[in-house]
Amino acid sequence: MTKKFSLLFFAFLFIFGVASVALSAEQVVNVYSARHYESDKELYALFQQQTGIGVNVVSANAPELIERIKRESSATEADIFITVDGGVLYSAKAAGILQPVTSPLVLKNVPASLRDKDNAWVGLTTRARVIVYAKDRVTPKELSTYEDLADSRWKGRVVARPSSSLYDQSLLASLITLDGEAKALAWVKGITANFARPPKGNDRGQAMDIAAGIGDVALMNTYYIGQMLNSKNPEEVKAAQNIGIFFPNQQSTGTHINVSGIALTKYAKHVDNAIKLIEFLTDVPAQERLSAGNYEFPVNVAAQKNPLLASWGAFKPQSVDFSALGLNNARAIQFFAEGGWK
Amino acid sequence: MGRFAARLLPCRLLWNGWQTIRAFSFLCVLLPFLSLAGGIFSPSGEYWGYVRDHLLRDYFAETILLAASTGISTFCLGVALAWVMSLYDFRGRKFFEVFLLLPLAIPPYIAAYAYEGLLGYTGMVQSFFRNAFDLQLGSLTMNIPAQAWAIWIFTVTLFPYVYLLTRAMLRKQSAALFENALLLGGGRIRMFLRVGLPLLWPAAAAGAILVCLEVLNDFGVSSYYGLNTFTTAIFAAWFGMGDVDTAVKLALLLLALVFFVLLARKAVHNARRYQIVSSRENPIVLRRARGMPQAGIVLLCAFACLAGFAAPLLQMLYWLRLSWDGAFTAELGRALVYTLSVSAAATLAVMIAATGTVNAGRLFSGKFSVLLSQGATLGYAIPSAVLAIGIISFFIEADAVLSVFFPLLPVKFFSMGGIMLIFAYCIRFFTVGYQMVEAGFAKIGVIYTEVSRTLGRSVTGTFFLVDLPMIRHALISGSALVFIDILKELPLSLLLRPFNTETLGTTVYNFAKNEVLEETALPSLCIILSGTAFILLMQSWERKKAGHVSGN
Repeated sequence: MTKKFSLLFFAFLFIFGVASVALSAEQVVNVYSARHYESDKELYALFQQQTGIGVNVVSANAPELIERIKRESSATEADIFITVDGGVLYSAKAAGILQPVTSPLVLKNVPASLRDKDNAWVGLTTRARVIVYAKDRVTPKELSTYEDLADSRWKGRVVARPSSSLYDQSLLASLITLDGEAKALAWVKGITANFARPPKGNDRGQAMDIAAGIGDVALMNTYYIGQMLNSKNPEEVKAAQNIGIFFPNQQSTGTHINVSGIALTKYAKHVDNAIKLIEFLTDVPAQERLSAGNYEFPVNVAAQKNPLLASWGAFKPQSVDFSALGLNNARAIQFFAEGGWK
Repeated sequence: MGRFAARLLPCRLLWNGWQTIRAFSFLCVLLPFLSLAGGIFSPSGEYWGYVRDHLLRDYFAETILLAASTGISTFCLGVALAWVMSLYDFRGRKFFEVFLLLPLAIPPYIAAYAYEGLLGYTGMVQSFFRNAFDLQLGSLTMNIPAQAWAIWIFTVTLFPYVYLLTRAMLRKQSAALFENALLLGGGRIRMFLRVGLPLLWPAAAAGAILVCLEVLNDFGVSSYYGLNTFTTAIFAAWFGMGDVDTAVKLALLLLALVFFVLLARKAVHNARRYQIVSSRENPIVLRRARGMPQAGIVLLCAFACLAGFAAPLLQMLYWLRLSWDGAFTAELGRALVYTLSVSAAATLAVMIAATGTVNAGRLFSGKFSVLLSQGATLGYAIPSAVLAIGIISFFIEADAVLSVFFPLLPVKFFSMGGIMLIFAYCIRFFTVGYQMVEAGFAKIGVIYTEVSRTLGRSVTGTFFLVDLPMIRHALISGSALVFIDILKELPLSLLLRPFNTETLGTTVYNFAKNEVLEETALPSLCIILSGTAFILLMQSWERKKAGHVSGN
C-alpha cells in the first residue's frame, strides 16, 4: 500500500512536470492585471484571434503586482500593467515601473483628461461612485451631495463597507482635494456617526442591506448595480430593483469617478505587441464590449455606452486629477482611522 | 526529545544525514527572512509612528482575541468530539467517524462566502422567510459583530485539527487506565477531568496551536469581514501605504507573538509528558450510550458536521445550480490539474523534510538542536504576503546566478515555473507535517528505538525498520493534512503562481472579489470534493491498517 501511495504521488509529480512545460506561442504579450473580469478575458481571446499574438495574464491585487514588478526590475516578464484605480496608477508611475505610451492612435482614442499627463498610463474605462437609496423610504429630492450624508438627519440610515476598500479611500482622497483636510475629516466623523451598523460587506452587500431595511442610503460603484440587475440569483435582481441611483454633487464639484487604466512597463520585452494590445483595447469595438459586458463607462467618446448606463443620462464628473487619489491615499486611510470608520 | 538523545547516539557524533535534512529545512525557512532582513534596520517612515501610536493596540487586541477565542472554541469542540467518539458507541457513530473530518476540506474563506450566501439578504434562509411569511430577518443578524462571524467560521472549519490529534492520542491509550479510574469511583465526568484531560491535553493543545497559527496567517476571512488583524494590517501597510518598513515591523511583531506561543506550548508539553506504553490487546471498549446522553452526543456530532461541512457544501451546490451554464471551462480544468499536481509535489517534499527534522531532533540534544527544530517551524508564522515577497527577491537572484552557470537552462528557470510556488508551500506548511510527525514520535516514545540501538541497529536502520512502521499513521494523517492545506491555500498562490496559471483557490477568490459569489460554486466544489476524496481515501486506508494490526 505504501508503494501504491508513493506511486500516486510520483504520478502527480509527473503530471505536474508535463503541465508546467507550457506551450508558448511565438508572439506574446505578458499582462499583469488587477482586473479580473470575464469581459477582459473574452477581449484577450479576440485579440489573439485577430492578431495572432497570445496574451499571458498574471492577475493579483494591484499593489502586489506593483511590488512584484518593482522587485523583478529589469528581469520582469510584465509588458503591460492593468489596474482599476487612479491612485494605484499614480503609485505605479511614482514607483518608476512605467514608460510613456506614445502611439498616436491610443492618444486619439483616450481623451487627455482620462490619461496621465505624461501618458505613463491611459484610461480603459471609468466608473462612478454614486449614492444608492431605498426607493420606498427616500426620495431623490432628499439627496444632494456626498457631504450631505454626514448631516445628522441621516443618523442611523447610512450603511457602508469597511474603510479598507479602495473605492471609499479614493472618494475620500478626492474630497480632501476638493474640500480641504479639515472638512474631509469632519465628513468622516459625521458619516460614521450616521452608520446604521458597523461597516461590513462589499458594494453589493450595501445594496442588499438597503433592500433588507437595515439602512436607507449607501455608496456604490455603478457597474455593481448593472451586474446585480443582471444577476443569476433572482433574489439579487429583486434587491437591485428596489434601490434607486443618485449622481451626487451635480450642482457643485461633480460625481466622483475613478478610472481603470492600462500602462506599458518600463522594462517591457514585447513593446510592439503591448502597444497593439493597448490600441485594440481603447478602440471602439473593444470599448463597447467592455461597457456592454461589465457595465463600465467607455473612455473612447466614439463608443456606445451600455443601454443601462445610457438610461441614467449624462452627469457631471469630478474634475480632480487622478494623481490626487494616490497622493492623498495615505491621508485618507489616516482620516478613516481617526474618524472611527473601521 | 533532547533529553533522551545521549542514549541514542554515540556521544561524540555531532552531524549525520538527519542533521543535514534538518539544517537544509532550517536554511530554506531562513531564506525569506534574510532577503527581508534589510528592512528591519531601515529608518522607520512617518506611517510607522502613526501605526504605533494609534493602531498597534487595536491590531494586538483583535489578533489575540481572534486567535485565542478560536483556539479555545476549537479546543473545546475538538476535545468533546474526540472524547465521545473514542469512548462511546451511539447511533450514527460510523457515519460521524467519517464526516467529522470533512470540515477540513472546506477552506475558511469559502465557508465565509457560503455563510454570507446562506444567511445574507439574498440567501435561502432570509429569502424563504421574506417570500413565504413577509418577515424581514436582516435586522436579526446585523448586530452580530464581524469578529464573531470570523470566530464562528474558523471554529467550524478548523476544529478537526484538535479532534484529529486528540483522537490519535486516545486511540493509543489502554482501556485499563479508564477502567481503573471508574473502579476508583467518581463517575465519568470526573474521569474525564482527572484522567482524560491531563492525558489528552498535550495533543489537543498541539491541535489548538495549529488552529491559532492558521488564524494568525489568515487573510481571506479577515479581509472579507474587514478585520484589523496583523495580517490585514501588513497588507494595508505594505500594499496600501507602500510602506515596506512598517509592514516588516508589523510582521516581526506578529512573529514574536507566534514564537511565544510555540515556546509556551513546548514548555507545557515537556512539563506534563505522560508516557504510557499501550499493549495493543487491550483497546478501549466503547460504552453504549442510550437515552438522553445518546441524543446529546448525536446532536453534538451532527452540529459539527452540519456547520462545518454540510451547510457550506449545500450552499455551494445551490449556487452551482444558479451558475451551471458556462461554469465548466477548459480554464477550470487546467486549474484543477495544476492545483492537484503542485499540492502533491509540495506535500511529498514537506513530509520528507519534516520526518528528517523531527528525527534529527530526537538524536541531537542541546540548545542548538532546539533552535534548528523550532526555527524550521517558523515558516508557518510568516504572513504569506511577506513570505512571498521574500521568496520572489531570493529567486530572482538565484535565477541570475543560475543563468551564469547553466546558460542552457530556460531563462527564469525558478521564478517562472511552479518551483517558486512549491518552495513557498513547503516553507509555509512544513509545520503541519512537523507537528504530525512529532506527535507520532511522541506517542511511541523512545523505548523501542533504544532497544533497537542497544541491539546494534544503526540510527538510520532503526528509523526505517522500527520507527517508520510505528509512525506511519502520523505520516498518513500528516500527508493528508498538508495536502489539503495546500489545496486550500490562497495568498501565496495569488502572489507566486506562474503566468497563465490559476489555482482553484485563486479562481474562487477572483469571483468573490468581483462580487459574483454564485460563480465561486464550481471551483469551490472542486477544492471541497478533492479534499473530501483525499480524506476518505486516507481514512479507509487507516482503517484497513488498523484492522490488519488487530487481526494479527
